[in-house]
Amino acid sequence: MFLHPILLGVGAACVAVPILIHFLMRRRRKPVRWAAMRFVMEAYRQQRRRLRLEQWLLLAVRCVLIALIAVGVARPMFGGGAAGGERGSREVYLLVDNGIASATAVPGGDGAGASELAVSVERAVAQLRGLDPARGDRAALISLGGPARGVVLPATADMALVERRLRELASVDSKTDLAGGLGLVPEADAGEGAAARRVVAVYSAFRDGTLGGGASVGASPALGGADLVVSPPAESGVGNVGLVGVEALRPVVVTGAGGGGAGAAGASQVRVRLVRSGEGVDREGRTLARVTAATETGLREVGVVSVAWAEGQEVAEVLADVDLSALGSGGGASGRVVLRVELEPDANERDNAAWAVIELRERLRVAVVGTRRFGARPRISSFVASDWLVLALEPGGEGQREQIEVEVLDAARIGSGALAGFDAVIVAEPGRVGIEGWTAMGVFAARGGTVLLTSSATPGAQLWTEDAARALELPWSIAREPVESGEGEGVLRARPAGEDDLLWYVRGELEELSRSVSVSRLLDVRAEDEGDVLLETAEGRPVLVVSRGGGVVSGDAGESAIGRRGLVAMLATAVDLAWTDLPARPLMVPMVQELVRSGAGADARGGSVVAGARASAPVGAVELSRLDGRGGIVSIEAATGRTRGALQTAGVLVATDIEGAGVGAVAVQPDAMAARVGPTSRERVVSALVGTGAADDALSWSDGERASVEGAAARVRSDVPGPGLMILLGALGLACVELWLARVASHAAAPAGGVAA
Amino acid sequence: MDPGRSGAGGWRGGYIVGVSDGSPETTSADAKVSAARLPEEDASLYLHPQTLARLKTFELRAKMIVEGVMSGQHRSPYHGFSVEFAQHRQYVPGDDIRHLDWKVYGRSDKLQLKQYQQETNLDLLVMVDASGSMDFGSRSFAEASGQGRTKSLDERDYWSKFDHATALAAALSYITLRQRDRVGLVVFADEVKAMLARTGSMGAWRQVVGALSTQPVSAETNFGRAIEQVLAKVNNRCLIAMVSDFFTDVDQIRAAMAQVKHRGHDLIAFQVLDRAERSFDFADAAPFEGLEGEGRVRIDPRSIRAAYCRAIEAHIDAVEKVTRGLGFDYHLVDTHKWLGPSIAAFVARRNAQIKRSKYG
Repeated sequence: MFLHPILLGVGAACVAVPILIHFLMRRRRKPVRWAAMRFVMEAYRQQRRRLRLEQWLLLAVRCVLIALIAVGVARPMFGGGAAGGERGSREVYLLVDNGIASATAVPGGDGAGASELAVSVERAVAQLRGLDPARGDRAALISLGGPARGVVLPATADMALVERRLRELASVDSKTDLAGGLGLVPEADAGEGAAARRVVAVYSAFRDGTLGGGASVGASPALGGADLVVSPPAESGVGNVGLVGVEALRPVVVTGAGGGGAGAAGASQVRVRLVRSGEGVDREGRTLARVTAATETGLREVGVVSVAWAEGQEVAEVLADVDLSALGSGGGASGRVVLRVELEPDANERDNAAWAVIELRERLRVAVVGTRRFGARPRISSFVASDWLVLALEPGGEGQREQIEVEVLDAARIGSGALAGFDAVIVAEPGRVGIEGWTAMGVFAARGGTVLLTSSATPGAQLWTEDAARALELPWSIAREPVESGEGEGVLRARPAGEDDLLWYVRGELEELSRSVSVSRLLDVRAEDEGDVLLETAEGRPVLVVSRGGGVVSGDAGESAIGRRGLVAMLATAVDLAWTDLPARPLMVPMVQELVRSGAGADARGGSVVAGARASAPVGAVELSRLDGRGGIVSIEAATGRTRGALQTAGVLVATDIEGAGVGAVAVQPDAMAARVGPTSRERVVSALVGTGAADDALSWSDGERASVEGAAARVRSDVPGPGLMILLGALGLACVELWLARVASHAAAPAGGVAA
Repeated sequence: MDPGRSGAGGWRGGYIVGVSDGSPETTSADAKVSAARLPEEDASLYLHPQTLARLKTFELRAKMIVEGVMSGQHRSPYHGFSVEFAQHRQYVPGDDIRHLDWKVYGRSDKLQLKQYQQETNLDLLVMVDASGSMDFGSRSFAEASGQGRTKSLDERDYWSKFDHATALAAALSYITLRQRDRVGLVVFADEVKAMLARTGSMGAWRQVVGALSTQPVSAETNFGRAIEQVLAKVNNRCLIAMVSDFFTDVDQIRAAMAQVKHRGHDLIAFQVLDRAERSFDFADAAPFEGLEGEGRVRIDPRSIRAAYCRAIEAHIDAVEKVTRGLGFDYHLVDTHKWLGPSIAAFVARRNAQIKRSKYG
């Protein structure tokens, strides 16, 4: 079976050409009257057999050569590629890329201004109109915007429906899911469609971000035998800058009570990540990003970021100062602020905006579990651990509790419900906490609360560690016996900052502040992940270990999410001067305060997701709805706390609980990495598609204007040689043989045996 | 290269000199041509003045003793009383006493009669091959004739081997007639087609040209039969100049020449060939058709060129070998070369050889 039987027929007819020429040459010439005919006949008789053999061999080679070319051009299909194609019925799967890269405006040409999705749609429509339902042709439509989904599946003969759905396709903010789209084909290949010739046509501009890392999309065994027609990648590049993400350094901003602290409370910072691609990357440049805040009162510009690009720089990360005071939410404000970062218009508009949600809190409530005192604060020499911690949380004294409200709870009396309403718990005297207390703290942490453990200053073995590790599900092991640091070995030092630096605000001074602290005694804490260690002694013993929150915690039955784990930190030494001089050092205050403030938003870190993935909803949320009111409701799986489907459109989704009250928000960011507009090569596309299972020789390019299932005349062969290509190569070899044979048969190079003139 | 002439054996006019069994009839149209212009008048087309001037000083001599009716420069088998002493013989009554050698009588008192070598005339018999193969030529008539004429009397635009043979016969005749010997002509193919009686008239070479230029060229070659017919009509010893392409079996040639040898005649073989016949440098495939009824075959000339050239060269060598083996002279004539220098060189070389030989 052949892909182009008409070409095969034409080629077969062409086989007659050399035969006709052979006989026409015999008839055409006028005879030469020759005197020395007896010698001609004598020579002819000697050479006759050889000459005839040469002539017939040459004729046969020429005929076979033309036949081979005809077969090669006609593209033979071995195996099941042509199964059932007797009536020529086709089942065409249109895979149209509507990923974020498809929103790129077409540069130059007639289609300038239109998106590449529009170009792809027109190509697909052209192909669709080439199908004939009367002959049994059918079509299916699959959108490739991640995750890929079948828009019209299974294949239908209703071409009008497919065309209507095609034209309704819109670009999404997620990356192209080519593998998922190809994976949908076999699902559609069932029933009567199995008898038709299948053609999988992929329409995409195949820009740099489309294929991601360039890895193969993987095998799709059901594509075996199908023709894979792929639109060629876009050639001319355009320049584009996209927002990879926006992240508030503090998801929870404490505004403080009253107007006194407006200045500190109104300042916040967001981390903005950008990527640029395509034309202009090799030059210096500047990008302006505006930060606007959306509150219940409306939109207001709260900051501007200018990013300077160096030559060749593709990724940038900048911090933007956000002036929340401009919102009039300085003191005493609470609620939620949506920050929108927007870039200037460029080739792709869909990655020009990103969002971050900041929660405004009037104050944080912190419980210090230790010894509760009544009356005035004692002298420093009489301070116990809880006193030091309260002092660190309220360095200005009790009268200035504006942002952090501290309450000391008796360690021995911690029970269920005792921690309600607190944002953080600092365990100053863990040795006095009972099993109920640890259980209560475990529940507290599981619901997003921050827990800071310290060692007990009492001598002897620390018997509480196992109960604490079990209740808090700590990922580290804590020794029972404290160890003494050697001379000079207890000096504190900061570990290099990781990706998510909880002490980021004081990172600049952390090294210097740490050097002044000495730890003489501490519990040996072994953390599996070295990134969890923020501070350590000079001899490498961890001093401050953290377990970042964010993970969903399910209930005992596993039926519903009960919360999102908060930050759990462990100070391996006791807050006691006999163990360390930390309480008396300047590091104490920023360290404790930063842990409490950063921990307050730890459970909210999952509130941002890149388009194309399922989002984790805030605890208690039952549905999500877009802040701008557009689009439908996104339901949430109770068991996982995640949205049922992937979110394809960037923006902010507001979470509501079962009573309709707002319980948080989720920012969906555009997948700017997938929107990189640099051009790709055909080889890269082929390497991504090879292994999909499509017949190697059926992998072909379709020209935009002439794209049709049968109109693959403009196909460019992939680097995978198929049987058609192999046959053509064979024909080339045979052509060389023909040239040699023709030269031999012509005796043009035969030596002159006669007499020179 | 292509002769461009339709049909072998085309009629070349109606002027008949000799008559043989196979003589063609004269047509009325041909008669008109001959009435308008006699072929002898166009003799200069074949032997123009430059050639005549070149050959004027040459003499064609017989290698062997010939019998003639007139005294001349050639040795005769008849011993008589002439200028050149040959021998003595006993005087018998009745002898002319003017030839008594008185010196011998004075010394030996015996009457001895002096005998002298008698010089006689040469009869040159020019035999021209008029078989179909002689009607081939690749040289243009205008270039070969040198007289400004582009076509022959029978409207051919090529210079055939027969044309060259005609010129050669004229040249030989001219030389012979210049030395006051007699010339005869025989035209043959598969048999004797025409004959011109031997004559010593100085204008006889024009008759030779006239006879040949009107001779049809056709049929196959049969040397044996032609020689047989010629020898039957020749009584005295002659010098036979055989002008042909010798495109026939070597055995037949050998047999014919052996008859000539046996009858005591001298013979010179002039093998007339066109240059194209030896080079065979055709480029395109085409059907080839023989001029003596060999049939037609379509060939790619380049594919058989080497074998062809080997075959024709071998044949030429064989003809020369046979000729020289019988003690005759052989001369290869190229139709593309001027005749004068070629004939002059040959005659000079032959005369020198004769002088060095026992007959000189």
